[in-house]
Amino acid sequence: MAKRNYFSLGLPLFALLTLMGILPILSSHHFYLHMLTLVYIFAFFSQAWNLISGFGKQFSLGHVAFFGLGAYVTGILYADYGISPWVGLLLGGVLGALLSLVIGIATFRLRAFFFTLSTIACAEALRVLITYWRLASTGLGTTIPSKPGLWNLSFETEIGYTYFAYFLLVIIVFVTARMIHTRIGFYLLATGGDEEAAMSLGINTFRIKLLVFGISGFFTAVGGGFYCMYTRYVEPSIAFNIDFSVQFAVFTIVGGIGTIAGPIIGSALLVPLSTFFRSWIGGLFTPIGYFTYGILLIVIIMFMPGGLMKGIASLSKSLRGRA
Amino acid sequence: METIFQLITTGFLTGIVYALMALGLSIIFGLMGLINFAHGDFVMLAMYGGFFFCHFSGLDPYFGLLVVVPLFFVLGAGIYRGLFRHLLDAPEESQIIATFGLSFVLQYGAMLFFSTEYRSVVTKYADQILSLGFLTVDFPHIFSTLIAGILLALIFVFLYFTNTGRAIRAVSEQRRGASLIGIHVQKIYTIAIGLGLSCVAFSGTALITFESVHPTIGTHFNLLCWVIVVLGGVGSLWGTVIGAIIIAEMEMIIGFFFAPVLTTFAYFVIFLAILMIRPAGLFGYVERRA
Repeated sequence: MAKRNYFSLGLPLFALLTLMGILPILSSHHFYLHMLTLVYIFAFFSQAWNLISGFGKQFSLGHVAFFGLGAYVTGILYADYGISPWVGLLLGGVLGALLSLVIGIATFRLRAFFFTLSTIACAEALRVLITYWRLASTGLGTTIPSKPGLWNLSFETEIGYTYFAYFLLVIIVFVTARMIHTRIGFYLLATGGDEEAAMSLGINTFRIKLLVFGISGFFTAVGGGFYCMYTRYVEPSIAFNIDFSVQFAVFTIVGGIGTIAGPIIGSALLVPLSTFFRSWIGGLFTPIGYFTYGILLIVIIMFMPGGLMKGIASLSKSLRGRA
Repeated sequence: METIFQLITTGFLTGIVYALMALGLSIIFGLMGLINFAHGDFVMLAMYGGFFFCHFSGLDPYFGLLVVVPLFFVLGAGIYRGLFRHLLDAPEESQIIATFGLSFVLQYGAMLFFSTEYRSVVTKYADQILSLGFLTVDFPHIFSTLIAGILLALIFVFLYFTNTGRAIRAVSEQRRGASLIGIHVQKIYTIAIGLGLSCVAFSGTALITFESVHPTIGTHFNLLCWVIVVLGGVGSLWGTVIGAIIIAEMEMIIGFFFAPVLTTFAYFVIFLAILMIRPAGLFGYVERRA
């Protein structure tokens, strides 16, 4: 079997995670910590996306459906009913997994693009449904009250959020790394590589895809819940913005799709860059940012389909070959 | 009861325009095997074409087709040479990512150049109404249906009664087999792109006479077209037309009895339902993988 994970959770990845764990204590500057939080949480989302779309090659462009679902379950339960976000995170995650099962059962036996299409349709459908529901009840946006405490998932200082995002990231990296080296992971890679061949070996590719998509949906929804607690505001047009789906994909593809380090590298590179773009050019020309994403997607697919990780891997290979 | 008839009539008229729009996608997908996620954004550009023509010349948007169609051919040739040609043999996921990227470029390019304002055209016949007993139909809908219907008829005559048309259908059924019996596949691709873009240009112009345009409307059309194509059956051109009419009727009825915003939700439900019950769509065939 082709080895697709260039760094298993070996020394380099371990070192990277340790470094990321140390970074937040280096400075208490608010913006610095905010940036780190965003990098970690987006690396987390991209990794969850990478599970099904990178390793499994089932390309989702509607992961924001799970993100928004998790954000809404957590946010509304806490803001309107005072139920702890921890319950919301778990419940949102379970609902996210169930939703992914529905989509998966309908599409995983068909050509791959049916899957992509139904993920987009699902995200749009949830957006209009929740808009409709919130407009009818309380008004569009919901602000999340802040009562600091771990049980409320609210922290007095930024660093609490940074470490929570880090904690989520570490969990998903370990889950991914563990899975890739078990039978499920081998089956998943085989399915992504050549599904018919995998089936001819007796692998139930349908079940594998469902399982992995379920895990991916679960984690994305959990992350969505955290993101909502972090930004303290939830609104359908933000929580279900297709922009998030695209970012998960772009960050992973740029870093290296189907690798464990890829989503981390992609987020570390692009989150600060896009924030910089936005604050530099101001609210006026944000379309430029999206416009650039579009071009980036096209260029990478045409010229560098493996992303940065593959570029680094082939570079180090050729260097070693020369030495 | 009368309201129901009214809804069905308007739904049918809109359905013909949708049919033309989705046929463009169906032809390019069926003939070239290209998964285009930016189809709706081309429709958006055509709507802007109609709007700006009308805005600057004061003439009816339909005259704008004389400008928009040639412009579209130039744009289409450019995008085909620069992007689509390289994607034809690429794996499905590359096609999806690249055309999705293209969709972003077109949407946000439109936002940069045309602003996010909703733009609409007021035609001279905008408030004229045709009454047929208890049914009333406005002229913009009648004209758009007529024009879309004529183009649809022409395309079907071309595909079913000319030799080039037969060659095209042969390629869409089996690319390799068609090239073995001497059909020039590259030439067929050029025609496919031409046909697809004409569908886009005509349907966009027809749409601008009764609907306003904004840069991100393409996302809605992308979804709409794909739902229609899947409902009708991938590879079936007639299916696309029937699927379009069904979807348009459904939009009218849900919009009237529930809420217009819920139509998007209905798309999703219908989409999943078709894929679960009959993945080949109403009139199509599909390769099952497991």
